[in-house]
Amino acid sequence: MPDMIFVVDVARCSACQKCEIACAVHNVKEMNAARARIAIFPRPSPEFRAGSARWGEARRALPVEGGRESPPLNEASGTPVTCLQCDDAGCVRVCQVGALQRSPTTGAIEIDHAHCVRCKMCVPACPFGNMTWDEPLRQVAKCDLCHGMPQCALACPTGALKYRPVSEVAMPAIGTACGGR
Amino acid sequence: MSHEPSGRVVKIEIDGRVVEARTGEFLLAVARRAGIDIPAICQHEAVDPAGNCRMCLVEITKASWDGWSRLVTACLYPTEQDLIVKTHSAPVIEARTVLCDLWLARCPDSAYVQKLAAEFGIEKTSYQPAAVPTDQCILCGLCIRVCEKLGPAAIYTVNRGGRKKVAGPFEGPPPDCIGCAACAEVCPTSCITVAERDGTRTIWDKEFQLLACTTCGRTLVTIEEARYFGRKGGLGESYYQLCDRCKRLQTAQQATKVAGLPLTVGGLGEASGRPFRSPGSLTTSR
Amino acid sequence: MSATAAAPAIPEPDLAPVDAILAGYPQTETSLVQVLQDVNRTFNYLPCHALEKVAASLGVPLARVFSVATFYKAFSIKPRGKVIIRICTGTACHIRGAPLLVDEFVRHLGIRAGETTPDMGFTLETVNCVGACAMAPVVIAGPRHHGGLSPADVPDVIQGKSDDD
Repeated sequence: MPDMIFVVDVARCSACQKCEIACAVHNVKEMNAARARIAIFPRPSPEFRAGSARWGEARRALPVEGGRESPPLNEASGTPVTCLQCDDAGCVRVCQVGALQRSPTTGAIEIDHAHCVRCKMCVPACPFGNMTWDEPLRQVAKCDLCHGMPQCALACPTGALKYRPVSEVAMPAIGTACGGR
Repeated sequence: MSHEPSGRVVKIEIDGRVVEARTGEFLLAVARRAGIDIPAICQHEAVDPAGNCRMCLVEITKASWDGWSRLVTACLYPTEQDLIVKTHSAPVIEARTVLCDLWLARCPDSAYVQKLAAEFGIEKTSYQPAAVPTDQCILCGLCIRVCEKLGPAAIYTVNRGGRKKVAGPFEGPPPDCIGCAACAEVCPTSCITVAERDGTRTIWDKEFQLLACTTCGRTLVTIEEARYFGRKGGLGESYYQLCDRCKRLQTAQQATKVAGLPLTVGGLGEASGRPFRSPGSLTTSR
Repeated sequence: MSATAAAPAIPEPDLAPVDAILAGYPQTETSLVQVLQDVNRTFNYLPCHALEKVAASLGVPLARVFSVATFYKAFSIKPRGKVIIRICTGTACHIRGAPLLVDEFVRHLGIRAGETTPDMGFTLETVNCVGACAMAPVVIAGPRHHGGLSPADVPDVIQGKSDDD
């Protein structure tokens, strides 16, 4: 049983895209947010702006990186989307070669590229769009929590992405892709 | 992969290094774990070893064998006590060189074979090259084994001897092929052609319609593949109406709603009307 | 035995006997070769649709059935004549004049080795060794073995076969 858990706090995301860059640099060695396993959807939001005093300081200090067009800094806020590591995952269900396995240490579903035959079926099988195809590498790309050191969480300046001990997190719900189909 | 080493832990010697392994475990797996390189072409973790390509030949002997030794395929040879393995001895290199020489005669135009042969010092085959080089297939059969593993088992070898080749039934478009192109992905010589244009994919002379995102039209897999694997995995067709990007956008919208924030992402809104199950919460991992 | 994808020239035969053959074996992959042997014996070749039937019934991928059907010399996926003439071209037979016999059969039947006469009467095949080298050159016409043949005997082999049948 993993003792750490990845937490996304949408209300704290400033759409700075540091996480995307950190992910892409770590996983594909390229500063290209489009190849990251995490995606930030920038979202201009007046309501969000009103509540932004808590982390306004940090946010103002940050440049917006990456190629995606963002709203002006002051209005920028975003929604991060990354793999939910579903209990009953569509990607695992369709994989016929056992290339997708849950890591006992992190609880993340990891892809073993030596087992993968690149049929790509896991990409459409993810109902959340978190399984992607990396054309330059000709590999399926998914979040594996960086084997217990999620670079996105390390890079996140606002606390929207956190990697915390399970005991400290009050939200026990777990994503389930297939269970309620 | 499905081969389970059952035996007890023994020590064997590979290239002078003492390595621990279980009896019954195949030599190639043992060597790779120990970081010892043995070339292998038709080996893939997804499928059981088959000993087809012969590239992983190694020389084995034992102290008790009185100087006698023999060549075996490392991918299929089970570990036993006191085995002494040489992965790059003169007879091994010679055998691999002959292999490359033969492949070069069969597939003179294959860049992969040329490169491989060059590694063994062969620029030109010493055999009679194929009069009409038909394809660049070295008949390693990896495509067949992968296709079988995935389920369709659409292709096999047909004929024998000099006319042996990989093909579908009646050497026509394979009726069981789902167009996933995994065969082409794993092919060491990249000799299986996949052509994609205008939303179709053609492989093994069979044309497939690519599954297009109902919102943006992006394509990745064929419709037949999505249906086939979807059925095997128990997923409804609603799973693959959208491409990953559009699904992510949808996920972002849902997540934003869950977090009690307004929904103005990208302008798609609920208009896309796809069946979608909320992730419930955005706490991930377990 | 050829592996051209072309459809057989003659119409597909009635496949009812295939069901009877299949009924006689366990419906598993291990029955495949025996079933194919029986089908091949019944039709003198393996009709396309018979292979499909066998594949479906035994639960073996069609591609694999076709692979087996094209692997063994004993099977043919092309329709063959009523009488199959096999000329041994092994070493002993070769030395004792098998090539001359082949030429003579080709001349008399008007077909090349591997082909079948348009009336579906004869199929001409060359085989590598039938294990009867002492009788070289050997020709097997239908069920009968002929040894020590000379080109002059060829019409008799063809004719005699028709008479016997």
